[in-house]
Amino acid sequence: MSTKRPLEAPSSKSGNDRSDSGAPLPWVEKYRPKSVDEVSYQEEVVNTLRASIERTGKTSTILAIGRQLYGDLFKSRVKELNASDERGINVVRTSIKAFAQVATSASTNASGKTIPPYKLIILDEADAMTQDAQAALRRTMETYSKTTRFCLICNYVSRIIEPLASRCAKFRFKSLTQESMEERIKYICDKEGIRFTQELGNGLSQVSGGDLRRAINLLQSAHSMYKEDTNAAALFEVAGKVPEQVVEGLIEAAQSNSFDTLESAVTETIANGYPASQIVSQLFDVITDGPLRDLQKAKIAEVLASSDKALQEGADEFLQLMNVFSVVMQEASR
Amino acid sequence: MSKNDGTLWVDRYRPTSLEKLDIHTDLTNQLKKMCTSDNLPHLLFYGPSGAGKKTRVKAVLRSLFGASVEKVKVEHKAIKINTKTIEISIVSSSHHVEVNPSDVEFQDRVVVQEIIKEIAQSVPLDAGTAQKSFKVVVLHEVDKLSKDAQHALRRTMEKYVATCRLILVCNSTSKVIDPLRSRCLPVRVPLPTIKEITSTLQSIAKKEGVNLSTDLANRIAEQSGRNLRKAILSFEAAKVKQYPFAPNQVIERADWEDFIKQMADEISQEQSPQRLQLIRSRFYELLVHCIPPEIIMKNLTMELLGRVDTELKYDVVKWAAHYEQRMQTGSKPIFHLEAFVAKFMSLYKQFLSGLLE
Amino acid sequence: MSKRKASNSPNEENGEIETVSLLNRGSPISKRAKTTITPKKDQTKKPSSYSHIDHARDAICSTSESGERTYISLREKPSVSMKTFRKSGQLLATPINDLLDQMTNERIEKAYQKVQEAEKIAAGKQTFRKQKTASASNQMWVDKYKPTRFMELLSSEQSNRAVLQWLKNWDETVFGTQAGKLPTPPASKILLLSGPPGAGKTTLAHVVAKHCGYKSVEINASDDRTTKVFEGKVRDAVEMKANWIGGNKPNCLIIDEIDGIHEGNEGESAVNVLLSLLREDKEEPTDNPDKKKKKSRLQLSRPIICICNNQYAPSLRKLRTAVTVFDLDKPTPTRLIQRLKEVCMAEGVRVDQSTLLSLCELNECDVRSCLHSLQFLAAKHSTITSSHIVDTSVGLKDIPRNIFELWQSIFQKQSKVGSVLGRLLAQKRREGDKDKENNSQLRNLTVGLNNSASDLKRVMEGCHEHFLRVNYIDPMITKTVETYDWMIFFEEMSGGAHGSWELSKYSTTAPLAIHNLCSTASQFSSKFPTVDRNFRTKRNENRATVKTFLHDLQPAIHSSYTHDILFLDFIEPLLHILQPTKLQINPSLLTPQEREEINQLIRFMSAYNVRYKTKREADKLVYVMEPSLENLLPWEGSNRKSVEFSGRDGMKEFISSEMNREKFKKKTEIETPKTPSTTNQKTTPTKENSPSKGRLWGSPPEKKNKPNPPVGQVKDFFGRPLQPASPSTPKKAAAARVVEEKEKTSFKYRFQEGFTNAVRRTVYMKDL
Repeated sequence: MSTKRPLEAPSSKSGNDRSDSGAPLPWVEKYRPKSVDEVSYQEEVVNTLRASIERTGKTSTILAIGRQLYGDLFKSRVKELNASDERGINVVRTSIKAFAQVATSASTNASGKTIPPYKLIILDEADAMTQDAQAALRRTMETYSKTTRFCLICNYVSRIIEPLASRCAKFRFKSLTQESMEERIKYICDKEGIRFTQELGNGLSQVSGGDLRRAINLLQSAHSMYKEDTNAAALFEVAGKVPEQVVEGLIEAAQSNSFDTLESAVTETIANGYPASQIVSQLFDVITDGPLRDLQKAKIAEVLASSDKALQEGADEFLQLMNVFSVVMQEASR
Repeated sequence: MSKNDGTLWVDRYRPTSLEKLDIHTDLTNQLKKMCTSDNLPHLLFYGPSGAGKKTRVKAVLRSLFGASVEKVKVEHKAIKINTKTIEISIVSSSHHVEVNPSDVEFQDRVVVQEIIKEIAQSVPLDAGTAQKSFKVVVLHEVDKLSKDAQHALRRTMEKYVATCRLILVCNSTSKVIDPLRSRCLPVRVPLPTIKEITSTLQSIAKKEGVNLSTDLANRIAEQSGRNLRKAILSFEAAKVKQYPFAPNQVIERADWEDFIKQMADEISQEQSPQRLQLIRSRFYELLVHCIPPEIIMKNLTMELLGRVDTELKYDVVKWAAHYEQRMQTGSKPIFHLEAFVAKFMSLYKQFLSGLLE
Repeated sequence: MSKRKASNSPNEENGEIETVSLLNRGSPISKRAKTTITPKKDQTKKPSSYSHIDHARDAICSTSESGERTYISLREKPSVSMKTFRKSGQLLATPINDLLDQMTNERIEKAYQKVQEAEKIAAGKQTFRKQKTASASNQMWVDKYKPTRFMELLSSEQSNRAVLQWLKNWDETVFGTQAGKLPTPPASKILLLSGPPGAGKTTLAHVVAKHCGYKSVEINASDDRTTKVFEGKVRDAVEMKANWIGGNKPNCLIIDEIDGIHEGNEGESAVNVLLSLLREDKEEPTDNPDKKKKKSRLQLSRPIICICNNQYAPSLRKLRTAVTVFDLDKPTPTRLIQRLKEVCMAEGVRVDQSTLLSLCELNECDVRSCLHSLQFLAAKHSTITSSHIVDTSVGLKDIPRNIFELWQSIFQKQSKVGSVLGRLLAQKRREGDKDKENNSQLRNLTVGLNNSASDLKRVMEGCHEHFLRVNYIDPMITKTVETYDWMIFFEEMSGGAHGSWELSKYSTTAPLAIHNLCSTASQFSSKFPTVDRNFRTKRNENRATVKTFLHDLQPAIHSSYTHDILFLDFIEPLLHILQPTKLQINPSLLTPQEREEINQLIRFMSAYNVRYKTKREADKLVYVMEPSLENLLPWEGSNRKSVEFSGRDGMKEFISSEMNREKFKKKTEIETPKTPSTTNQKTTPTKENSPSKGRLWGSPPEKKNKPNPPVGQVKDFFGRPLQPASPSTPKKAAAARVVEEKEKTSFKYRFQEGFTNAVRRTVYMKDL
């Protein structure tokens, strides 16, 4: 979910570097906003708790804020810890405390900007921290509020323990709208020399489901494989989606009411390497929009759900697909 | 590579570069494009066994780093975990490392972390001359990694993105956790079609100076279930057995496939605890030969499906899926395999007695 | 009130007046108080008569002149007994009827005892040792009534005598009449007594030893039994030969619980020491060429009795064959009951015959546990009835204790008739319906399962292996399906593959459910499950084989394969390609075409690092594949005939030597600078012709000493079927070959090929 980024890399780069496509840096990092101007929210940083649905720019926002606040001193004034770092109770007790304890004074930097007299600790994915660690954090937060401000980022506020949440000002990030996403995508396409079409935009929002990071990643992947031919179909392939024809073909086979036809269709699908889990989830969309009666849909949905779980647990794809489609066949023949 | 170095055809005629790949040309072209760009994302190759994933990975590596990537050595590295040491084989060149972390079963997480850390931290020796500034880690059978290891992998992947790229290879993405999947560029490698296999077989035959009729090539391809590796191997085995080929030369299925078929016969002949005991010994035999239990279950189901009425098929499929799934969470495959057969026997008997009434 | 120095008086209830001195110790107390006042000084002497102040009772407080305050509690007027007596309105504390009963009982008791004694005397039996003294009452009955004489032994007369006989055989050796002359000790020097616990093995051994005039030296599980200590002890006990005359009796070594620690090193080491003793003993008479007579060499001239529960314990395997084994059975119920009766009489416990019988049944005639249960019950009741025994759970042997009994009780419904205990149980549960009784079995089974909770996995393994053999009625296979579901349930509860133990407490349900589904009334004999274990070892072997194969694959190919691929797709065709059919051909009769095929085969084999290697198998050298992929082929029970690799050894040998030559060629190509020098060195001593053949003799000196004449001849025949020049040569060459086999460096071996190959073949034919 989060990306552990080498902090120094983006900060040392100025905006000009962006056009330098030679850098083997993922686009997500490359096009991460460098100042608050580039993100849509701009707030004073207090003890901040931000919650929203995944991948809507939380981390980007706070990092941009940090950069704007501290400029060159970003590195020394900001400590960022995410899920990939050790964040057990021991870390809270030692390294976070140690960082928070040291006071800093207000100063001005070379460009004459005032730098606030406090430091910033960003705890990304705070909801993944253990209860113990969170509990240990609340005292630290209060004690050192003079020298250090904390920013917690999480997907679900409910997973932050109540006492900790009450110590923070909460900001909720909404999912990015399609327009704002499209805008950003367009910007990136421009820079990278991809021809942006409406079809591409729609496709992107469809495969990414409002997740900008995923959208950018997909775009980059598609671009690296298809270059100038990057289009919606390429996006589908890159996103690991199964072409609609395949799912439809399977349903057709199920409707044929012949087990042999079904068997060979499923075998064919597996042979082509389409992941069963993907088929199951796409089948769900097809079935719910389909012409079947509600009870039939419910029955199919049930088997889809159990199959999905089974697949997660590592069950054999062939058998699970057979099971799913045999139920579809049963229902369709009624 | 066509010179006779004593290897089997399947190894001797393995294409080594993207240019030589003649199956799935679309895919090959895309890979080519990707290799020419400077920025390589993490890759996830997926597709059934025998589709040519590994061959493609190798070809990609070659086109990335040139011929020097073919100079590989095998290391058998001992990794110490607590008190135990586990050995793992690592294939490496100066540009890449290949590991099959699922070999070590339970401790795969540690292995994944250790290896990638080690590689990522060591910058390529000839960093100046190489055109790429990163190393590549190829991990095979990622779908067999524990969830723990996959999560560890995801973090490691992000941490060392500057110095190394990962190429993951798996049979199916269903067992790969979502965060990992979304971090990679998925590359689907379907099985070659019968036609493609036939033509590959014939081109090998030509190079070897073997006379292979289209009909026989077709039959070999059919028998292999579109698995190219299997097709080439059985072609060579057939050639060794009898050459020149008889027009009606029998292409035998693998022993284990035959064995399962025989079991299906035995099951449909008689349904009783005694018969089940016989079936048990059969299952053990299969497992002794290290045939993965899910493949046993799958093949047995297919065989049994061919022996029952349509009415019963729904149930058979349902229970096969049921027991197979339970098997994945359990530790003793034999329980589940037998349980399925018992269930089948029960269903079959009930069905038969239903017919009589 | 700073300090309270007082102790509770035991006589408090009697209402004596107590003084409590509270402040200054030892100061005089005012005489005005009309009570007995003891000054503090005395308090130390008779602390029992003092008490701290008890506010619950009335007290007078008095202050002495010195200001010391003393509390004097008042005597309670009515005594406790008086009170109760008054309340009940009776004169006596115990009702007269009760007292009368008591008296009669006592009288009856006495009379009964007298009669019993008279009976005993009349029967002419030795009265059993009676120690009905108070001091002995805290002794365990088991020790108290331990037999001390041969006639008192409970074990069957026959085995007692047999053991006695065995020990008597030693008399001549140990107490030998003619001094100075070494009598021959009996043939069997060690006796192994085996039998179930509580059969009286240890007692038997001790009693018999005493009976025969030995001093018994016991080593048991409580002693340190590491090899060294054990050996020392054994030697000490056995060696002291001369010292016994001075009033000392000779030793008889009793090693108790020799199987004690299951399969541990201890049991093994004990066995090894004993075996080495036996061996030394045997060796001695034959020869003793080396002068240094070791101290440790001794003649085993004292009897040793080993005791174990299970003579078939793995650690005893070796010992069992070397010694005389006596199997001691449990005493018969009649004898046991007789003894128990005597004990009860001696202890003044009243018990009737049937009670004792059920007790014996309950404890399965284990003397020890019978006595223990009896003692336990006697502590509470003076009369023991069968209901006591049924109620008590003490010493219940009904609960399946070991894994075998567990299986048995899972698959075999308990029979309800035929035993006193069964009747009792039935009686006990007057409702008596079948369910209840089944319940009792279920209950016992549950307890048994819980007791062996750590072993549940194995229990289930056994269930899985056995249950299909049980002939439960299941026409529609539904029970079987259910049983499997329970097994799967068990697996899930016990944590599945990933071993989480939170739910494992529920896993005992599964065997119980299986009991309900599958148990029958017919006899079930449980065996230890081996199938699954065998399967695992075999599978691991196969895995290891393939792992080695994969391990040795050349780097370029290595990464193309994984275990699964090898098993599923690769190995079978590979083995076909390694053309086993060609192995039938005599290498000397190859046609050029076949020769070419063999060459291809050799190339295959070296490319995939498969070799033929010699292996000694029952006095014969055979060639096997290495890694042993051929073992993967046979499919037991398959209708199809699998590929056979039982080709001629000659061909395999040929291939193997050809491969070595290939390898050597490659090696020399690489190491050219090195090879010539070695060649030259080695060539010089052998005067012979062509340098290439001269290299043949680049072997150790002992080889060079071998007769050279055949060399010339052999060379002439090289590469063709050869008639051996002289019968002696091949033998020697064969011998040489064996030497080489032993210290085979690839170098030597390679050099032999052209030469020895021919000779070897003839040897083979001759030998065959």
